[in-house]
Amino acid sequence: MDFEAAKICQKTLKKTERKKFRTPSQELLLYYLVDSKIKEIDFVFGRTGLSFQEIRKELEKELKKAKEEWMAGFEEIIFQALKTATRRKKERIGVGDILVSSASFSPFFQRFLILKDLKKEDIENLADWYEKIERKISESKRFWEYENLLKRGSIAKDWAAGYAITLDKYSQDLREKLKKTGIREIVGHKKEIKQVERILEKEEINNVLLVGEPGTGRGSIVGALAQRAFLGKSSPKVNHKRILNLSLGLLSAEVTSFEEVESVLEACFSQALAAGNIILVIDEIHNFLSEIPKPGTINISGVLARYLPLSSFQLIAVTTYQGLHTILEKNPSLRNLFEKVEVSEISEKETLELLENFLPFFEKKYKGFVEYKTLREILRLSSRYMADIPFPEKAIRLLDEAISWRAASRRNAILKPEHIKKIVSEKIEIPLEELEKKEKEILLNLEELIHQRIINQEEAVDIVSAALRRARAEVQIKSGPIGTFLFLGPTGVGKTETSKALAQIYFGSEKRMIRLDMSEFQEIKDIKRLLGAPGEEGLLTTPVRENPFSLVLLDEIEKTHPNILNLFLQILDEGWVTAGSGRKVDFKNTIIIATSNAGGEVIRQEIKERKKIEIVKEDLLDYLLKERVFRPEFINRFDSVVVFKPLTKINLLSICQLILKKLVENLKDKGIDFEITEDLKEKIVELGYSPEFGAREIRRVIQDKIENILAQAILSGKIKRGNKIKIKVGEKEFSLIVSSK
Amino acid sequence: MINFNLKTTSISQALRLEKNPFFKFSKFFRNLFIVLTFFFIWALLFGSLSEIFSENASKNLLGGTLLSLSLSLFFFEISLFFESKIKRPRLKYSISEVSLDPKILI
Repeated sequence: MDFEAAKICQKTLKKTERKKFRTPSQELLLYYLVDSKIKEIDFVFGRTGLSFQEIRKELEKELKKAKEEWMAGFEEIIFQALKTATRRKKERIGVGDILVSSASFSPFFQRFLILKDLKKEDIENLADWYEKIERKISESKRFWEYENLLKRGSIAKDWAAGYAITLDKYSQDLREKLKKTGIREIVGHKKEIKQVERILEKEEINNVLLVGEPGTGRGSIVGALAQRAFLGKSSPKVNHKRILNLSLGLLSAEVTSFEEVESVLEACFSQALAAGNIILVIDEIHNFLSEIPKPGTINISGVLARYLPLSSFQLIAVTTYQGLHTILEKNPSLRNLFEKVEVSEISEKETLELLENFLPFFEKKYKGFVEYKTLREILRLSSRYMADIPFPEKAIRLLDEAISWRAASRRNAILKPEHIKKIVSEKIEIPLEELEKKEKEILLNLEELIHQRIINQEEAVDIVSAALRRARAEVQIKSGPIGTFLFLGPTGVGKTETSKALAQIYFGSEKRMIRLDMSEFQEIKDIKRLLGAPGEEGLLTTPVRENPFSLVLLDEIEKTHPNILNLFLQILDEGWVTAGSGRKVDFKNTIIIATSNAGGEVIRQEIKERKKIEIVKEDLLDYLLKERVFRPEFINRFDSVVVFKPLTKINLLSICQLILKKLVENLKDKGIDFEITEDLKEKIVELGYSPEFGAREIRRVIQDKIENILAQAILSGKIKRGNKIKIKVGEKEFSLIVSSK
Repeated sequence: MINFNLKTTSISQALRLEKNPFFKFSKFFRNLFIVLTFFFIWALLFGSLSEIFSENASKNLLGGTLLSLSLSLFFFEISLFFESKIKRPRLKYSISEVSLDPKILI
């Protein structure tokens, strides 16, 4: 145990002795911990926004009402602190370890934290963060240590290597950058860094192709490599080498003629080769390998192809998946001279660690203070609402934007979670505060809202509503989309209408529905149309990437190719798919609905026989599996399979009433009073209903028979503002009766 | 679970010695004598440059400088010893050993 922790324990034990309690209590220990004014405790409380006064007051109350029999647990906390210290690789139990174990095992402290929206993991995280800062400060003070001496530069190491005057002119030495910015802790991408080092260690094909989307941390991998090489912590062949980022943009801006570019590049590469201590880095290399170079870029593939096969010439090329597929893979001889290292986004936990490392820099720059809960909010909101940008980029960008915005409005600003919500709301153009409140309201009243548009599908609506509530309340163990449903039923019973209603209610507009007629994707090659290809948009992936908050409607899913159904297995399960361009497309904010008419006859027959809907569903699923319309693993991937019943005449009358009601409202805006009669509704149903197409024709009948008559009458001036109108139903035709109000 | 007895831990010695005036005031005396050293040096330099002090007074000032410098170094050593040795006693068992078998403490 360290001295400070021991002192707190001593105080607790003495007080116990004075009060003549049998055993010391964990509440008393916590009281002295809070009262200790130790920097670490100050840091945890300051960052979390917890009030010392409040917790002290609560603890005093707790200790006053405490009875001896439950005043215990001190030893348990010390024992758990011992375990915590072991886990955190500490030499002795510290104050932080006692605080962390209190957060995990003291009922009082746990309750207190819950009320403040904090978890024990947060306390541990903060204690780790503090330790890291302390370690860094004490390391930087010891100037005689190897790492600190290295910053002052070595005298003779580079003398053994050759000069690279032209190369130095067009490149940035990452080692020099490190001397300015200082040594940073490497967070995440450890596997990729090792891979890069392993490739650079090889004799043959020792050039690296770093492939990943912008923002995944490709640059930080190169930076980390430069740092490890600088400190001599990398592999022997990489240690103490210069890592130079060659700026081809600068080169092409300064040198105009193609011949000159080639000679300068030749000089750069030959100098790198002759120096023997240089690893080159070229960012976004695909821009410089294109056969038809874009303005401001050059084609370096010819010069590069001469140097890449040489083992003492080492290059780290950075590119995107699109660059890899569209440019590099079309030049196999060049592509084969590289070993690929794929860079994926780092985890949320690693991003949090990275934000913690960046925070002092931002706070110093903007003279602000960021609460810990704000960092958590940044992670939560950027993960949910900025799915098209990878971690850590989106989190760092959001933190930078938020703190600079806050600092601009006032001095010594404190950045709180609500500020992040405001910034994200502006970014995605959706008021999050309202959305979250509205979403709760919607979810609680979902059945009622859908029933305003859907007639006679109570079971279906109940199932969809319950599944959505489960998904959004996060009581469901799954990582996929918000909700996934398979709607089964004959034509014209409301499957598509329910989907439209859901898009309207849940996402605010019917335009938020991405509708795909799956009968158009009957061949295996159609997968390419859905996912896209390098340089081509995908019919499924592009709209979802552009509008991640959407309802995806897969109409007539049974008609698609079985391999396309396999593609949906992953989307339904994991909530993402890799588009043809190599980009990951996130479906976690979508609702996916697949509809099918298959087995419609079974439903119609069994409903006619007055069988219960549960039995109809079982029989229908048996039929679909027996007829091999769907495989069991496909059906099982959906949150719910929903059976839509055929509509009765009474239902159709209600649907007719719903559609006509909209017409009445439209006319009311024009000052015209339209009266709906029972005769009219019955006639429309009579003309519009067919067992094959359900209610689908009703809308068309209203359009042909009613709307046409009304439009003609309005345009010819037969109906004027203030008129009252009625439709008279004849044997064959409809006629208009106009009267003044 | 462990049977925790603070009195048997190696850090308990530091808790006892902390109250010892010798260690308790070592930091204070260290700072005091550093200030005094600087004061004497300043006075000595000022005196020798402006020649306002007699030779005897200058000798006394030099003596004072050396004495306070020695004492500040002495108390600096004491506080360093307390901070680095007494407050961080050598551990009989590593924390992972104790975590695996807490009974070794008894």
